[in-house]
Amino acid sequence: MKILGTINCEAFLTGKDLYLDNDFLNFIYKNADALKDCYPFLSSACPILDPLITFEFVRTIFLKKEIEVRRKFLSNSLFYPATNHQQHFLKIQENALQLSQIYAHKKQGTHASMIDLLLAARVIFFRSKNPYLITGNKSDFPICVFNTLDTIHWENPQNGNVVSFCILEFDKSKFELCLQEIQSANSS
Amino acid sequence: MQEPKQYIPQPRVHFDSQSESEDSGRVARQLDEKVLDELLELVREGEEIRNSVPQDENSRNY
Repeated sequence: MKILGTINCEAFLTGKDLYLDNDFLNFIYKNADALKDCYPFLSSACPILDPLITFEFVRTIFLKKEIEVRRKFLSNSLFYPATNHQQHFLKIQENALQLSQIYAHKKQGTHASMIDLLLAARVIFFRSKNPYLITGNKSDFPICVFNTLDTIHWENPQNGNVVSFCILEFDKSKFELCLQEIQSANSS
Repeated sequence: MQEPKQYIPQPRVHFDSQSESEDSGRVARQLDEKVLDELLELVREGEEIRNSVPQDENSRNY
């Protein structure tokens, strides 16, 4: 077993909407052992691909053959494509702008890329299902807004190196507290 | 002809309403091993392609 830790990922994630960050997507795409080890919990969850994550996954790939392979990978029935409606995007965009102000005020997550910001904003928008997010770069989804539910540590059987990914959830209470703090800063 | 109205986003918070939650309806599935085999085959193909290009031509995603 190369996934280290105590939690039963499969039970923990069964039926959950799970947004994948690009680093995790590349991790399972580039490592057959990792894909095999992660497959049980991924297939029990509902792994969702944000349109911007699919964009990031194929951007900078200049070999047509590899673009084709990556597209087939993204189209596999394991993954659910996220909705890509303009009406949703306008709202997600405004969430992202709000989120960027929180990050700036809290001095956390300020190095998050635009794509990470929009992915976080999507998770916030679709909060009614309390979706989870898996990422290898927790600092892009800071603690002022997101809770870490657990971490998955994977040991590479080739070299023994350990790679870690966090499973996060949006915390509405913390988010609203951050908004209040910004309001206070503006009224003082 | 009417000038197009410029959209400038405002920092606001939006949560999905019931009518917007089109991301719902996903259910836990019983995926067979064939799905994993298809993915593993693509991983293998991708690795072959990456190994065929010199390292210094690799991009961020490589």
